[in-house]
Amino acid sequence: MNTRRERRPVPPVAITLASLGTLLLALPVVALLQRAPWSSLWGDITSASTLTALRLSLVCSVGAAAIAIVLGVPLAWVLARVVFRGRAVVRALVLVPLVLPPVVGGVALLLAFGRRGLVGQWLDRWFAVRLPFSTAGAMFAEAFVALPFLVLAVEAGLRSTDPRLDDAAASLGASRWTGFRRVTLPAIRPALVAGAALAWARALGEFGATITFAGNFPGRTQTLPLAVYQALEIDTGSAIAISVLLLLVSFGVLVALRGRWLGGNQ
Amino acid sequence: MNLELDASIENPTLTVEARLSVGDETVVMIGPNGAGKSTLLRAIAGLMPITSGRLSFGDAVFDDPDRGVFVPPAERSVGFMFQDYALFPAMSVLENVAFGMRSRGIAKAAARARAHEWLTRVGLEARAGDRPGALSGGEAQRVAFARALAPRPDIVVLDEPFSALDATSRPESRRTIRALLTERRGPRIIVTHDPIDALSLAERIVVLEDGHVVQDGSPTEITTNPRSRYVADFLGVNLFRGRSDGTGIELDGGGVIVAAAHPGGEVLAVVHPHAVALHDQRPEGTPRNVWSVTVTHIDHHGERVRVSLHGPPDLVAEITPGSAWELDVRPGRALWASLKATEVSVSEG
Repeated sequence: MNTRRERRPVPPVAITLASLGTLLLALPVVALLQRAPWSSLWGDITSASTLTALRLSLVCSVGAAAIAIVLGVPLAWVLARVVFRGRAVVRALVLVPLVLPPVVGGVALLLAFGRRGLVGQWLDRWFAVRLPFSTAGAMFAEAFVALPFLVLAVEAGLRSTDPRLDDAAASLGASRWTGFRRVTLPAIRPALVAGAALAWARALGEFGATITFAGNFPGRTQTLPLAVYQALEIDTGSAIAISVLLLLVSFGVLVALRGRWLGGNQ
Repeated sequence: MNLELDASIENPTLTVEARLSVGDETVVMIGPNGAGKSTLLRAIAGLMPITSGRLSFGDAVFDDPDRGVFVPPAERSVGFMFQDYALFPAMSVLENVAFGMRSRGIAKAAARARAHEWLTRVGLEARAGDRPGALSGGEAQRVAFARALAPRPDIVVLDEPFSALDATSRPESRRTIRALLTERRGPRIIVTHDPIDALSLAERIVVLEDGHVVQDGSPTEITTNPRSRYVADFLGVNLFRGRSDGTGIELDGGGVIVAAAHPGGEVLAVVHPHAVALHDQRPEGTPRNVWSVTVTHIDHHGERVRVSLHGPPDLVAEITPGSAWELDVRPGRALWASLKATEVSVSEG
């Protein structure tokens, strides 16, 4: 990584504001850890309901990240490499889940894929597929909000690789797929891994779209964030314990990726 | 087998309309920036389609939009060397060179063995395991060349192979590439911006300007009779082949030229016409080269006059209309030509 070190004295204003920014990020984490019911923590996070929510969270977030990769990489490739009418529109659509409040996203998903929805009624009638209020639906809602992260990262990665690498592969006899697999994919691997990690983290933390589209059914659609929300009304201690668990899971992934792909070298 | 192109290729910025037939020979394509040289190469390789017309190699039609024929690049067997090499950054040097053979179905071990052989030929066997990012410019160029040629393509296309090299490494690179190009058969097309590259590699030169072939001929034809201002500036030079004995160059066409430095053996000497001075009488003083010549032909190029002279050696001088008038230059007129030794650029040839 090519970072320029600032050698002149750092202005006090910058130091002050940077410190405030750091505090804004750090204080909630500190508060959470400080209020955590350490004595009952283990019991809270190994309770059957929490473990169910954890398993569901992992299944849905990994599934959502997989959907984002399968659909997002080709989408990013098309956006980066193909000139077509309406490209600006598609690129704007990719940004929609980023700026849309997740609850609104959930409502929109319901109107599209609900049992009476635009597409949902046909899915129901022809294939007996009912996405809302199912585990698949939760995964689907998470994929919806996670997709932009993957597409943006991969598209940026593709844009920074030389398109003539594709030409070189083709002139050396490689099919499009071989060229993509052996030349393009290795070149964008860091971007793809970073994008997938961000998409997965976004899916893991997803709340609004999931609860709106898939509901809050323990064992079916109740992921960890939804479990926190429910626990908060009954037992604050347990809500904090689940929050700590979520914090640990996300933090663990961040640390695991840091050294290798997220620019871990200072 | 000949590569036959009779096509027009439309770009957002330029339309190339060219007719070209390349057999078993090295053709150097020159032309100003934006003349369409790279477009033509890309069309030959199938990296861009032609708009109309036909492109074929032997019996195989590569591209014929009227008949709906387009052979994709992977099936054309064109060894393409890209301008700044486009080496695959995530692969080792060896894997880069083996890539073309692997894609054409050669088994891994055989492909790697042949890639090793090629790396040895270009003197880079020690770098086989390195990533392209660790190579110097000259090394990367040789890897790109080996990668393009290792799969034994029917057609070789080199896009500005020397442009990223510094002046000191060019001569050796030129020698290597020429040696490896001449040992193979089939069309070989090189695009370059450098007159020395063009003259030392070409068996034939094609000049492209504004998307059209404006001149096509042997290096001697083109240098002695440049048909446009661009060609005159770029290639309208005196080109001599000869044998250097350390003190002078014995020219193949008769006569001797003295240069400032003489590498031994077969050499190529280039003299720009504006360096050749003409005199009424035998000049006194320092010029090392003085010849008695006769005017054979005069060409007016705006504010300059190109005067063809019969020697030995035969050469061209470029003078102003004023001095042409003063010297009473006309066909048949006997004059003296002089040339400083420092104006002669010599390359091993």
